[in-house]
Amino acid sequence: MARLNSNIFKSGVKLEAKEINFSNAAIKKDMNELVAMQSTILTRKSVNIENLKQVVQL
Amino acid sequence: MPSFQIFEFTRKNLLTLLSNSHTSIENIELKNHFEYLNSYLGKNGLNAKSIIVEENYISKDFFSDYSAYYSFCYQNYSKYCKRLHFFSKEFSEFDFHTAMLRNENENNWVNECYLGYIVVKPIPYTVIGTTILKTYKSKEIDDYRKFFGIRSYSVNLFGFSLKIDSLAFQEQDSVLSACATTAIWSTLQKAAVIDYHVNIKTPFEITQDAAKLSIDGGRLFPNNGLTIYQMCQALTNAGLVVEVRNEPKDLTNLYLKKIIHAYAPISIPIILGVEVPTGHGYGLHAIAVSGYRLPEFKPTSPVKHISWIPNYIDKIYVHDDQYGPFARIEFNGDDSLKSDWSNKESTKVVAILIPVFHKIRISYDDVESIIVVVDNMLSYAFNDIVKHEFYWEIQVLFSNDYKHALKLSELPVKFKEEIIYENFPKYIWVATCKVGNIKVFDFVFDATDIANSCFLFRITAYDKDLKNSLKEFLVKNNAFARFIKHPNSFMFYDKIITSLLS
Repeated sequence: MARLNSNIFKSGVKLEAKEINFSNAAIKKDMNELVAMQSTILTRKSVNIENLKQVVQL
Repeated sequence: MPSFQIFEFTRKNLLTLLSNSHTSIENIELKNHFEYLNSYLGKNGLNAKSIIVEENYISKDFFSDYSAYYSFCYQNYSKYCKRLHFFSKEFSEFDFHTAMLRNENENNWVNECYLGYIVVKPIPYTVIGTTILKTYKSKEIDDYRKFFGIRSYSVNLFGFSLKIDSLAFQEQDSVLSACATTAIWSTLQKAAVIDYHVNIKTPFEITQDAAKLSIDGGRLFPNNGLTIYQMCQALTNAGLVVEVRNEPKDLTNLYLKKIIHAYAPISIPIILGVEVPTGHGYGLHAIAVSGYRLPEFKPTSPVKHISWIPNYIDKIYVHDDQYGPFARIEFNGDDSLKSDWSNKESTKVVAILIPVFHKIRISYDDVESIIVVVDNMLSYAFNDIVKHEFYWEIQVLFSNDYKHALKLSELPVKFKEEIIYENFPKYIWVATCKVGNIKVFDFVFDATDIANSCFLFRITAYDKDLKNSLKEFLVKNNAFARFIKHPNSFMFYDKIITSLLS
């Protein structure tokens, strides 16, 4: 097997695809936070209409 | 007899030359611009040594303002300006005269030591007209500054064509333009050279494009400022479209850094509405961002939260019409700025106006919301085996620039060929992922697509093992698709997997 790139991987590690237990409470919490974070990111696109009337005048 | 005069660059000479028959030297000395320009051109800045004064200069921008307004005044304002040219070399009148008579290709010391110019307008107090000055040299060995908003100007002087990279600046005249107009004016200077659909406009034309009336229902000129909405209207009339971010809770310094860094590659200056102290409260001011400084950083071990490369930006450079070109702004925590305005009180951003070309329809935020999920997947899959944290940067690029950069990368020729000959949309979002400083993935998105579609275009993987392992991980854990907040989340997830197959 070819050697892994030592600039990327720690020495002696093996690449194995882990399986995530999505019913685990900690992971569930993490996923809920991830969804909430995406909602926050997407709402940044909403413009505050009232603030559009602010006059830039200095 | 030559029709120019040479002066040594000194504070006193600059003061005298900036004054005119409507503005005394004493009043010029009180202006922020004078102190700023004297320092910018002085020993610690461009280190100017000489000034050439060109009299009876017609400035296109002032001429438009003159014909629209000043020519109708009873007072006899001149249509002629004077132009001050700055050089980093001392020379005699004879030296300069001799150089001017030669072919510019034969004798280029004039071009080499040319620092740019300031037009002095023949009106009261607001005398600083079109100003094109070089960016100053970095004192560091590695220049971490990126001036994305500058362009090449050709300056015609006595038959010479002098070349200079800069972004034009001018102060508002408080008659035809306020700060909002001048920030837009600087922005259009750059946007118009990238896309011929965008028009360079004079301050008078920009204000006129913004509205028919002043916000109070009164006349538009003399102009008392523009609303954010009117600024968007002026930019749209010039041929751009504007993305606005103005929800106070969202405008953190990290978000500001990410936005500036994200839109920098399309090279259009970004306009900020900033709240600044006025001595009797706060007022809203507009500035145009044309650069930033992003020093190298030391990568950490993997962490749980997502890490952003633009978080390391420590300065931005702005055209602030109350001070001068390329004024530095630093960050104070995550919610205020340190600028020339903020001696004691803080300055903060209250609006970001991102002018873009109309075909860029997918916004930064659309891409970031996908990338936070991808980072989460990578963290679950690899955090305990990679040496360093996964770092991200998301930028909108001309696809041709992306292909050009790939040619210079260390990717195998076979992959380079595959990518450069592939049809791409004109604008793409590229979310680059690095492990420490090593680039591992580019997630490429079609910036011209619709936000509800699966707008992932391709994935460029720089490490085969990481790519194959990520693919296996995603196949095994396809429940991740449920946590992508997108109308087409399952298709998006499948597209990530299929993009990793190639």
